Amino acid sequence: MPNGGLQVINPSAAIYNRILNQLTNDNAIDSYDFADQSMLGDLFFNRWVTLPYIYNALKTLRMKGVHDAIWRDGRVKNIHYILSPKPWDEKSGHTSNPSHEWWLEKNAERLKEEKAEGIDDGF
Amino acid sequence: MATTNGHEASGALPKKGILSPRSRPSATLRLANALIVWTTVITNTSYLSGLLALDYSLKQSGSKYPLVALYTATFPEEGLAALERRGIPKQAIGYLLPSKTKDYTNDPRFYDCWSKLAPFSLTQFDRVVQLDSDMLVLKNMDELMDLELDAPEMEGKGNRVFAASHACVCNPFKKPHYPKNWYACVSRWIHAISS
Repeated sequence: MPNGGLQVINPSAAIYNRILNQLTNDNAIDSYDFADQSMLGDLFFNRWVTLPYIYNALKTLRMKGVHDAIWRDGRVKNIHYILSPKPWDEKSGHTSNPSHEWWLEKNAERLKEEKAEGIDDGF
Repeated sequence: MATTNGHEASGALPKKGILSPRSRPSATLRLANALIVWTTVITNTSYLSGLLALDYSLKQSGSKYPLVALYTATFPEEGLAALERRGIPKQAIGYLLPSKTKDYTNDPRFYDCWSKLAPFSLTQFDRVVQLDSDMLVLKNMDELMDLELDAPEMEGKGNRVFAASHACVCNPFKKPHYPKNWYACVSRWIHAISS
């Protein structure tokens, strides 16, 4: 089953119609425990391209005993902050996961630049 | 033939790989103006900081392509204003739900997830990479825009319909409502990182 966090797509009316059609298939929907990603895994079983984890690096993979054996900080291109709490709900120095510090640092940089440009709306 | 940075000039975008661009000049012509974007779906302002950080990190990675915010009718006016203030392009999409409501009480985040299928409908674009707003880009990944996938004319009947990473089915937090067969996915990950 694919993780729905990152999807490379060539938009297609025909594929979209198959998706819309499947949304009305009550029995199939009942079996889709993970919503959209279950559906894509079912409709296109074995017919999608597998990307390396570095493009959608679920933060939990990095944790000891999960997939820390394959995780390399220096190789990850895109980290995915799945589950709660989200990094924006936390403060630097008091994070539930060390990778949240990366987000907080980048976001602080963004806020500083925006403030310099006169944008300060609390987002 | 396909390079990560050559498709604007040559038209050799590998996603149309079933037909060689050389044997099909019209395809080359169309691809010279290929419309390529990142998208992310936003339904409420609780993920807005995530979206803004994602946009900032994509730009910092040196991506050549813009992030388009796909917003549902539930996304409020103040959120739209925040996007406009920062010059982030946006587009309205419908809120997708199955005709029969499935109960995701254990995981309410899944109600919003169906709308992430909307990018398949954005046929004004040649290539879309849909991202979640709770992501942060650490390195340039523009090569995803050059990845070979089935042409839209194949109508989802080919073997490269879309691309994604595997879900991790280890269930590290032992959520009891996860499927019983979600274990020992290490072999799938080895497959994923070696492909």
